[in-house]
Amino acid sequence: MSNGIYIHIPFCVKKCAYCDFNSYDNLDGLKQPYTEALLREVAARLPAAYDTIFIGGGTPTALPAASLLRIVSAVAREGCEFTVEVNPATLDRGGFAALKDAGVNRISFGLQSALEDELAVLGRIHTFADFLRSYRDARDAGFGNISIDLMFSLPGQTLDKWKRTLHSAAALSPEHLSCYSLTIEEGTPFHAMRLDLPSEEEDRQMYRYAAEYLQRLGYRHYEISNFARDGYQCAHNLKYWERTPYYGFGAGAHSLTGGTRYANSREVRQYISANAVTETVLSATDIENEYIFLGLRKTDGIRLAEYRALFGAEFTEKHAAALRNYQGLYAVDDGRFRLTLDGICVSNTILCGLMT
Amino acid sequence: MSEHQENIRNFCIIAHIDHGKSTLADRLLEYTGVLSAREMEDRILDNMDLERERGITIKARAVRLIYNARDGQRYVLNLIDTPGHVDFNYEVSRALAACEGAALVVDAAQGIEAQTLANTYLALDHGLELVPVINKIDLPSARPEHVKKEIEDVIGIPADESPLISAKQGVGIEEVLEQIVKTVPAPSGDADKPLKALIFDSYYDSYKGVIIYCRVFDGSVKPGSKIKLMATGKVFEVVEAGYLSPNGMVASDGLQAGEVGFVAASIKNVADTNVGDTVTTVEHGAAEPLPGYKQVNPMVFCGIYPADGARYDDLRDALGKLRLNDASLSFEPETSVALGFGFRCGFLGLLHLEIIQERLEREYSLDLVTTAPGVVYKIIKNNGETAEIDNPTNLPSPSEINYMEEPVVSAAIMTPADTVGNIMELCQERRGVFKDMKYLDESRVSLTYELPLNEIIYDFFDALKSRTRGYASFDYELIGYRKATLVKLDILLNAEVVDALSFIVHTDKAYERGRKICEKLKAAIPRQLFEIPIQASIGSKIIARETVKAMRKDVLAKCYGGDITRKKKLLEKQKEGKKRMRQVGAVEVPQEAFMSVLKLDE
Repeated sequence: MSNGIYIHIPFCVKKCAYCDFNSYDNLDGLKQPYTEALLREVAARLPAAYDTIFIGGGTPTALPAASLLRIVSAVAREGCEFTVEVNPATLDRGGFAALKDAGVNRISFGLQSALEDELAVLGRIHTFADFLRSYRDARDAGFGNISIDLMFSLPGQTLDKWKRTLHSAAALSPEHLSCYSLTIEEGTPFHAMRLDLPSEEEDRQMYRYAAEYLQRLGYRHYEISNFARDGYQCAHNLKYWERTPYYGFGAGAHSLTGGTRYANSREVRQYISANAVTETVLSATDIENEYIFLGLRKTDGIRLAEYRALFGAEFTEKHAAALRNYQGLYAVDDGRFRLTLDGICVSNTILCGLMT
Repeated sequence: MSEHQENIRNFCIIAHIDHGKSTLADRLLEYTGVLSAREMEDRILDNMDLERERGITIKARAVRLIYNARDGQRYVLNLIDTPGHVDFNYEVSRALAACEGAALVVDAAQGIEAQTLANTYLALDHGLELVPVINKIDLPSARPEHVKKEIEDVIGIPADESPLISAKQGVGIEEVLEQIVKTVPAPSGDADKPLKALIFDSYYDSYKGVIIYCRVFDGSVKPGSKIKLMATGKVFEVVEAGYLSPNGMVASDGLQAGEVGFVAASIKNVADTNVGDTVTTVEHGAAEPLPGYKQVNPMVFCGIYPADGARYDDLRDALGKLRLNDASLSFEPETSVALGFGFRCGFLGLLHLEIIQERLEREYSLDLVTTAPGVVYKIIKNNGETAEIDNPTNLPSPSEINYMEEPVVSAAIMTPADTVGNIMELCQERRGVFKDMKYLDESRVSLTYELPLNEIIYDFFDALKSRTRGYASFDYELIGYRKATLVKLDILLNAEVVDALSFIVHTDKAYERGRKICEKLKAAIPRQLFEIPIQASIGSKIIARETVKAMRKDVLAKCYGGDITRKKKLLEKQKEGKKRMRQVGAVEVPQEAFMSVLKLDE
């Protein structure tokens, strides 16, 4: 596998109540200078070889179409998996066609819920009908690789409501689905609100239901929150979990190359006027910890031979004491160490026991 | 020399908490010009951070004031500040023993409260002359004439000449000084007799060693004197002696009979100086020591453990230093299966415990885990032997015990008449025995109850305040031991007894306490990979149970977009949190869980 390219667009039409990403709905005046700064950074730092591209945000389609297309064209290359995140109702039929023509081949839709009351609570600007129209437009434009993002454990959500969302999304037969348990992040409006959230037990019922239902439909559960038809796993996101080098461009974007992590200025104005890159050289321990906690996000876990080659120890021997506490939560098969579904549900606790 | 003593007045200020004692002390300092207005900081004598924050005076402190009185004479006034809280009566009596008189401050709006009386009796026991001072006359609700009458009726001392003051506004301060000069007798020691100086406080200075605060009764002490501490027999040479200013020590050519000040003698070992001991000279020393203080025994005990076991030695040193000027604190090493190595510490009361704990944490940067406070029980065994138990773990098996006795206090509670019903109900709940009720005036009542000490060490004062809109005041003294049906209550986590959580309780209270503790622990122990039963038991009988359900969800749903550092930090933080927990069998117990069982009414 070659390098990955990530491009961050920190704008959106309206910031959602749960979102703690680096995105803003009040910096529209910066869209033009940001595009220029981003293109300068791309021109300066784009690596010679790469095979995945992901434009995320924020909402990439919150940029004027012409700006987005300039960015797409600056990085587009034959043979890449090229994803753009799209929020329903932010792109018309012509827009999808233009992206397709420019080299984009994968669309990731932020649907989150198929129910209007839940979309309203989340602060989304689209309806389910808007999404269906956008989805059809994307298919019509020729996109054969579409992912849909969903969220569960929403305020007031029941298992039945979650099933309706999940069924509605699956009925469209997307190639890829992400199902995220809502995390209340500090500093978001949700954090300050008294929300009627499902219990841990209900949350896990929803999660297990999704895992089981989607597998029955032929999706493979390949990462904690991600499901794909064969051949449609997100090659770009896998790079984060497998520590394959990637180059991030734009405000707050991160890169991993040669054992060092780099972070761009998070603040949009700062990024435009004088981007300051923070560099973190990883120690041997950092690398091993990252390898474990990222690798075990994947349902097929880590390769024991690879671990041995990288860190010079037998994984199961080194962690024998900790593993005794985790019976039934992990499995060793096919030369791999992986967490079972029960293990994934409490993976933070297990990772704390495995990280040094 | 006698002329010298003629112009000395050694006095302290006693009052119920919040009646304005420390503010008056500040005013006296300001008025006598010890401090310039620029140096004046509120509550200057309370120089422990903790004292300022809590608004109480914990340690007795001394300072020398110079006052030019109306009679044209120049007086040296030694003011010894004292705490007001019941837990610190011991500190009060230390201060009283060094004085000839006391200013008794009474709040003009509240009148006499429980500690006003308790401190007054202490002062009278020490033969002190009292100067009643009525403070806070600036308050709209002040009724100074009424309070004067109350002082005369309840305490039985004349109050018609009491200065009416507002320490806050600086009104009437000179009058207080005049009354002190007039009423408090001058010291009557003999400078030619052998040295007798009473140690009323001491502390450790890293450069000078132990600094002794003392009151010289007879003789004199100066740099170069060879002194002997009579209780320990240890001998030292005085390096420095002098008086105490609010800014610290001021060296002089020595201390004479009647004076109050400090002595530094390169004393390295904290244990050599006992507060209450008498200092004399090696040559021509005194034959008999001064009476010293009534030995005060700790009444409340708990285990104190360092959160980080590696800091055991630091904890021991810190306790040693605090004990130096707090003889009422006791400590002995003990070990707990759950908490490791620590100390069983004895205190005068729960506030004293809290103060020591906070001082250890703040002044010595120690992270502590404390166990439930308990009292000393007497065990009378079937074979006729008796034992005293201050740690529930040491309780013999029930089959060996004939019966047990618990300490009982006589409690005086002063409260508005319309809250008497509430107080009686509270005392009833706490197994109190009604003894007496007196009307102080038409709206205030003084109640006397006998209460088991273990019923008031937890949260009695808080309960009292909340049932009387904060108006009740409370004081108590130990009156003896009484037979009681007591049991040891054990707490089991995951079917294993946690020794640090065991306590002794009256049979009638066992179920309720057991249930509440289980509830508290359930709230304090985070979910873990397996289900954790929490049980309370008496012997092998389970009397309460709660369950911490197994953890169902502990996962980072979203981790993409390249910025994994934040997620990594979250995991590191979680891992760090786990390290700070106590491993009790297979269960990880947060330090807070041990503390949460201490406050059951919250």
